[in-house]
Amino acid sequence: MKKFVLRILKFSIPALLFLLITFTYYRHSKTKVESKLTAFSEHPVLLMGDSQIQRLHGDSISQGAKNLASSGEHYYFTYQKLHTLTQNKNHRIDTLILGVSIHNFAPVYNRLFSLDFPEGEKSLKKYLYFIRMFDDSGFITTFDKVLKPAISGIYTAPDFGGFYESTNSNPNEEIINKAFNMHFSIKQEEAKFSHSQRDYLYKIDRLCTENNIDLILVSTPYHFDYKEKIDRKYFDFFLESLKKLKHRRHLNFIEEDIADRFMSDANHLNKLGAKKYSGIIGKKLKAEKRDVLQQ
Amino acid sequence: MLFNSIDFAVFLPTVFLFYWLLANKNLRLQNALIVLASYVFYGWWDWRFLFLILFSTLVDYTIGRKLKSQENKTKRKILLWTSILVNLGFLGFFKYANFFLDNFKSAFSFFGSEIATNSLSIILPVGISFYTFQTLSYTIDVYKQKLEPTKDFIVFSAFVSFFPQLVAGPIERATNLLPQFYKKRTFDLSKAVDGMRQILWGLFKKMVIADSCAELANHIFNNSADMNGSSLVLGALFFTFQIYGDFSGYSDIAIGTSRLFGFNLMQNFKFPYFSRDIAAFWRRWHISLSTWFRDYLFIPLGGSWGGTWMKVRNTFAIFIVSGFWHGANWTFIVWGILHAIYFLPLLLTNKNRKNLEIVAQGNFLPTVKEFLQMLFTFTLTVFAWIIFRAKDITHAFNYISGIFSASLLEVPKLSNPKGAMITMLLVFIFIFIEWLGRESQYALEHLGLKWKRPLRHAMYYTIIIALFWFNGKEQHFIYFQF
Repeated sequence: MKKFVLRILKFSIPALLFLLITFTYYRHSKTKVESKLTAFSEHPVLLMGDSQIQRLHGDSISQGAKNLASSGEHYYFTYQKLHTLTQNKNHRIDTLILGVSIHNFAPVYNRLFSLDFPEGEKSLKKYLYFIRMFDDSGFITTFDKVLKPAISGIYTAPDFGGFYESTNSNPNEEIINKAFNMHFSIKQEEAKFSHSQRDYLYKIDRLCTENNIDLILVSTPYHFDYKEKIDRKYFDFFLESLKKLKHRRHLNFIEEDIADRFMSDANHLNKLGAKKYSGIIGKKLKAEKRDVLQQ
Repeated sequence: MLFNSIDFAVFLPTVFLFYWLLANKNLRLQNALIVLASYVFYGWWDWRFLFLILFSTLVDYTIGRKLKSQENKTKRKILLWTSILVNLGFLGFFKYANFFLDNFKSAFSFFGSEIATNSLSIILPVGISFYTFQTLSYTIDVYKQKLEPTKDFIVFSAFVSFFPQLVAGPIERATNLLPQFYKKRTFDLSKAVDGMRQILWGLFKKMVIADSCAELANHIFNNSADMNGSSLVLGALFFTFQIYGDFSGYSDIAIGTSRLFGFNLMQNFKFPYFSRDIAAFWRRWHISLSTWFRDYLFIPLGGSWGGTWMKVRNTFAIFIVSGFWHGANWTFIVWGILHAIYFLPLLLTNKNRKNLEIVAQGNFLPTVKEFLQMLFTFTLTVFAWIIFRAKDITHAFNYISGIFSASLLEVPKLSNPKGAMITMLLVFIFIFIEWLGRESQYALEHLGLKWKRPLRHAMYYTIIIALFWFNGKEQHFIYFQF
């Protein structure tokens, strides 16, 4: 019996060593990530959200603005990033420009927030360093689903987000359908609306209030054909969700008719569109005297 | 509690340490610990159904004791039938009540009279078919005076509820398992190491092969109407390996776990997909169930000794009951009938015991003839699995029609082609390892035993890494529902 237990322990040495190295590497990387986020908290204006907001030029909106938006980012991860940023007592964040749109409440965001789906595993891999494991978020609930994406995430560079330029223009029907199906099709039995997105949007709202951060919501334009495909119920859910926010400043360009040459695909601006709308948003903010650096 | 869960990964070492460290010197204490652990194991799923196991245990223990003292033949028969009716009554109620209700309803409406009944909301107790058959074998063997009834209630409870094989077998015979509870069990290092190896291989079969195949098979079967012929063939193949990996993987974990506690369970699978005819397949697939039916149904009905009519009748009886045992659905019955049709020509021409030995024994490769025989048997099996897996008979019919269409020659349409390619590669590696180990109890039993320790451990680590890296999303064992 003693011999058997010793054999098991001996056999486990490489695994234990691997776990020890992984844990040490995680602690080391986590410290680096936190210090990088602390450095980002020196920026007075931050742009956060998913790939839509990623297309906007920070500098065209406000000098020194930092774009931290990242593709397919659920508000849970945005909240966790912002939470770490505001942990710095000397942070200088004054304004948060947050992307919010109709597709943000589509079924795809349920998949991005569940480890039952490959999308959720990918989220964990990308944002592992920004979250607190086994918090009460409902994202990580069981140990067995976490191990693979978590180990993979530890050895993957964390996704801090940042400006992304699209060169494509005049999207065709196939591209629009692809985006629509990705966002709105129900692949297994996920719910029709993403309630978790709404919950974390409210949490971001509260966090901004607690930290005296001005929250400005921005909805960049959609391609007309994509907009036409969306069920009215999603528009209602979107508007209903925004009504309950404390911060109601919303720059909404969804209803605008936009020329195809400004769009990269169904819901993303291209280089030209980014330049145009970053400028418009910047001007609107300046007009309202919201540019922090000018104050 | 699932074998492939964190709960079990904590449960097993805890029970193991208590068993060998605290209860080592006392056999009664060891048996009591097994009962306690088994009840915790089962109650983890739903504690209410523990009363069902306890009731079944009490009934068969009491009947066993009474059979010992009773010499009157009629009274002995009454006792036997009481046990059969109680056990099959529970099984019938929990598993088949809705099936009969729905079929009665359909039959009445066919003849023009509608009856208003609602399906009952019944939860199927996990493993009921397994432990019911195990306790029944005890009573029948005691009745036939093949076995001395036990006086020890703890021993009998341990036999009925022994956690490694409680919910999905192997269905142990009382003549094999019960005596093991009386013997003093001392820790055997080589047996424990071998048990660990078998658990590892079982987990690989379940988590890597079965669960990866399950995702693809489920997608194809659930969307079969939109799939082309070649995709449907792939779906059937994925299910073929899913069900084998799932069930034989469970058996390997069960046998390996039992070995850790000093028990030997019967072999439940002998590389069935390397069979050269259907008779050989049934000697190698779910052996504990097929031998149960052979001993308690086929032979009492007259077996294959009578005339042609009797052979035909008995063959159909055993295969239909075997199909129905799997669940209350016509698909299982038709699956059983199909296997009876496959088997009957072999029986009638006395060729059912032709391929008893291991294929290509002592050789690396089979002969062309052996290969073609295996391929033919495998194809028949895959075809039957389509019916087994389908939602209902119409679904099975449409699925098979879809295969035999012009789209059979098209490129398969898969939602995740990369995942499918990786799964196919894993299945090929799996078949290769199984082929190498086909002369052992399980594929990994002797594989690499002559290698140096670092190399052997590297192989085990490769399997462990595969468990984490390639495990599929599906977690539940298919046979839990049976």
